[in-house]
Amino acid sequence: MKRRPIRRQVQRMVLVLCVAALVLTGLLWAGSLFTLRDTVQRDNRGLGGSAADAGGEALLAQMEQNLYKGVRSEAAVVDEKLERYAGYVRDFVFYARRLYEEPEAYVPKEVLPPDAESQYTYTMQLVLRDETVDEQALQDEVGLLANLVHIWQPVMTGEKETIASIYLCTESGFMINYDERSDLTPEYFDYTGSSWYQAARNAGRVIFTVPYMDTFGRGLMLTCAAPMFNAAGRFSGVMCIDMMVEDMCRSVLDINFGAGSYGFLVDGEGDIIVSPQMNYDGTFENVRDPDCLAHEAARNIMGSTAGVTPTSGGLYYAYAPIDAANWALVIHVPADMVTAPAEDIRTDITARTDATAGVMDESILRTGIISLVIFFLIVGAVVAVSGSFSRHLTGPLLELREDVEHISSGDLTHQAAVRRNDEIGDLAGAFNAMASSLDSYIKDLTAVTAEKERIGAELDIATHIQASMLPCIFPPFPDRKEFDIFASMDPAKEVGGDFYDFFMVDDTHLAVVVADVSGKGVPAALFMVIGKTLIKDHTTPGRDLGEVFMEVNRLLCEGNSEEMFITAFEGVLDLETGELRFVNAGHEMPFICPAGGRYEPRKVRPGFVLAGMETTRYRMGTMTLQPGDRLFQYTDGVTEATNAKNELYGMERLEAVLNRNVNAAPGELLPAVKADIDDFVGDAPQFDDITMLCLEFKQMMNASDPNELTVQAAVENIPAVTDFVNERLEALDCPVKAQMQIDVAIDELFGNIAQYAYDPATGPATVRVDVEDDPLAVRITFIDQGKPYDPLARADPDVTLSAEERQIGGLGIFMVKKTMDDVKYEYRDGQNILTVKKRLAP
Amino acid sequence: MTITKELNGSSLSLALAGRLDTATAPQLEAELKQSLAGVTDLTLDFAGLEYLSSAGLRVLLGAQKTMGRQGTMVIRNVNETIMEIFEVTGFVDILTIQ
Repeated sequence: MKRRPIRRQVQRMVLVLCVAALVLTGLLWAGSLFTLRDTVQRDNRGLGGSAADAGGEALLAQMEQNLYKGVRSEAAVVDEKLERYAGYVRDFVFYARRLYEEPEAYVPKEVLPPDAESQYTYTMQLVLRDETVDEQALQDEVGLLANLVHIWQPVMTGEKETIASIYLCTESGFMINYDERSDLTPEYFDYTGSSWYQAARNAGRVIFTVPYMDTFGRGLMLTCAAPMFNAAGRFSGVMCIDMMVEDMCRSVLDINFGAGSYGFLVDGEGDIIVSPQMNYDGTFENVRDPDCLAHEAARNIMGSTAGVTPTSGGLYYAYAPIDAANWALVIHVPADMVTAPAEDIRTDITARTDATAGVMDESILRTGIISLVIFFLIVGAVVAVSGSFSRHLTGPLLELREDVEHISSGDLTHQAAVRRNDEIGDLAGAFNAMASSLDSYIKDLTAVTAEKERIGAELDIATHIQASMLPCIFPPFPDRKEFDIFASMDPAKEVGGDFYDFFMVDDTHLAVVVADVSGKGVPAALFMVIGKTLIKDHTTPGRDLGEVFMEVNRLLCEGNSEEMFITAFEGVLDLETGELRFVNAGHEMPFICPAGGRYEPRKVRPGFVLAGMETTRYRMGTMTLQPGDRLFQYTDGVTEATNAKNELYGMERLEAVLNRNVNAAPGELLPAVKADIDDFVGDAPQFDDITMLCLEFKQMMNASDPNELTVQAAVENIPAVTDFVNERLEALDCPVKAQMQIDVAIDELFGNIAQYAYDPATGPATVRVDVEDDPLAVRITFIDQGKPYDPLARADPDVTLSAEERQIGGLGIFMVKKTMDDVKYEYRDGQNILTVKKRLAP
Repeated sequence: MTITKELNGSSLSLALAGRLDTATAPQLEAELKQSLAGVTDLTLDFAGLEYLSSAGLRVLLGAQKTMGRQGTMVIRNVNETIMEIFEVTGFVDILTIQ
């Protein structure tokens, strides 16, 4: 795993926490700012919009109101003016009626035809309708009506600016014109066809004409006309005032309600009669024409009411009737002109809002940059401070590590310098205490170990001494053919309490001892030495073993201050007879295996343990061993060997392993049993010494008959048998060839017995050598107690067959028959008895 | 009995000394069993051999059968006693004795 120093971990953690907090705060803060900015911007825009809308509506309402008032007052001005002129005309007509009714009351006045000389002087000029009119006949009427100048003159004087001329036209055929442009006045003018004349006569009241270009080139004119009536009340003519439209309608033409606005007059037919945009060619635009005004506006205008009508085309029309002339005044106003201020407000507020937002954005950006700079400064400071703090924290740890390395390298007297009053200081103190403890502990341990080593060395020597006390050279008696013996002792501790022993009591008696001293270790070993020595010393030829053990017991009891005891088995085998005398002091039963049979525990009467009670009596027992019989004796360390599951090895397992190795020689049997015990025990510790001894009685000492040999029927014994026979033959000067043939015969015959007679077990076989004289011959008899078998009954093999066809069976006995002089077989008393005879002399 | 073994390529020479009997025949049998593989010329030198029994004959017969299949087997320096045994048992007709 990658190394991560604490210093870096702390630094990293602090850094991460700090950055996280800063970033989180920054994000929240930035989010709030942006939200605030957006809200302000949105609200401002909304406010601007509302203000603009509200302002616009208010302005529109105000404007409509103003328009309405304005159009009405303007219309009133025009109406009043027209009414004034209409009033003049009515006064003139009234005066003319007075003239007609009382001609006698007025002095006739002279009216001359127009004279260019009198221009720029207000004069009356007489104009005739045509040449057919008789001027003389009309002299009275002219003179009478000329009195009108008395009323015309003041009016004209007061209205010089507006009134171009005042005149009257009569049915009788003349016209009196009063103005200052006599130079323009013709002598004849047929007025009867003029529209105003017709209109006034037909209407019977005051009328206004539509504007027209003056016939005399004085400009745009408007005529106010009214019919005159004579004394009889009959129509006698028309009284007129010609007005300069420009002067008359100055107020209309001057109407200004803002850019694009203008006023105009509409007559009762819908024709636009006065307008600043008009072209006076005699034709009139009509408001009811589809392409003139919005239909609604036109209808309202013609409805003789006052009002303001907005049109879908973005225009406002304000209108009011002019009653005097059955006209209407209309003011044309573009709507955007009306709403422009409101839009200005909206634009202004929006612009201001945007400016504010820009300022806020800029401020946010500036604050963000400053925050970022502060952020990096803080991070740098945190890195520096946490690094310094971590070093401050871990520095002592590193020092402590060096101290500990120093201690672990073996210098236990090294002390870490404790300079801090915190956990690290505690740790350093603990390390110091540990080092001190270790130091003193190791010193103690060194002393104890030295002591232990000394004791161990002494125990080693004791073990060696004990081991050397047990006979350990095998075979112990290499020149003894009568028996084979093997023994082993595996101590549980260095010094065991078990022992075995074997020794020749005399030339024909072999003693074996297996014993177990209670307890372990050095005391048991010492007691064992005493027991072993006493038993060996007191086992003398011919002495009763019961007495031996009683004496040994008495002696052991004397010096037994430790209350120790010994279980022991001793046996003494008579090699000449096979008699085994034995005594048992509380020890395990021995296993006996008869030749060819199985190992079975032999019940022997156990006495009390040695050194237990001074007065204990022991009785000797006896049994007889045959050649090939075996004795197996052991200590309880064998049967009480324990495995990991606390199971005992036990008698059954011991008996089983003995019988699995029933044909094994003692030197092979004991290692096999030990291996089986080891397998069973496994890794469990050994609690007790394991001691085993095996004695095989191979053949009897032939003290009585030197020509007979009884041995176990085994292939290994062939050389022994051969040697035995050859010894006898040597005394007879046997020829080498005959001896060879006899040796072959022994090999065949004894070999047969060894392999087949007791198969699969084994048993004893006896070989006898008898000598015949005259002629010198030797007779060798082979005796066994195995299965009845007559080798001679078998047919001789065919010795002429080829190698591939050859059978090997029967060849041995065939050779014996060929080389021996006589071969006999009989079965008697449960014994196979085969005798061969060989002549030694020719 | 002692067996002196000499292997030269596919030629195996075994010199026997002592007795070839029931006890020692398994020794020779084991030796042959482990050595005969790949051998085409087997020579048995009986100069040091005192005698042999039927157990020895059995092993020789087995060896002869094996060598009969894979080469030749020759027995040298046979003494009188052993020769007599070979004769009695008819082995002179089976073995190649020089």
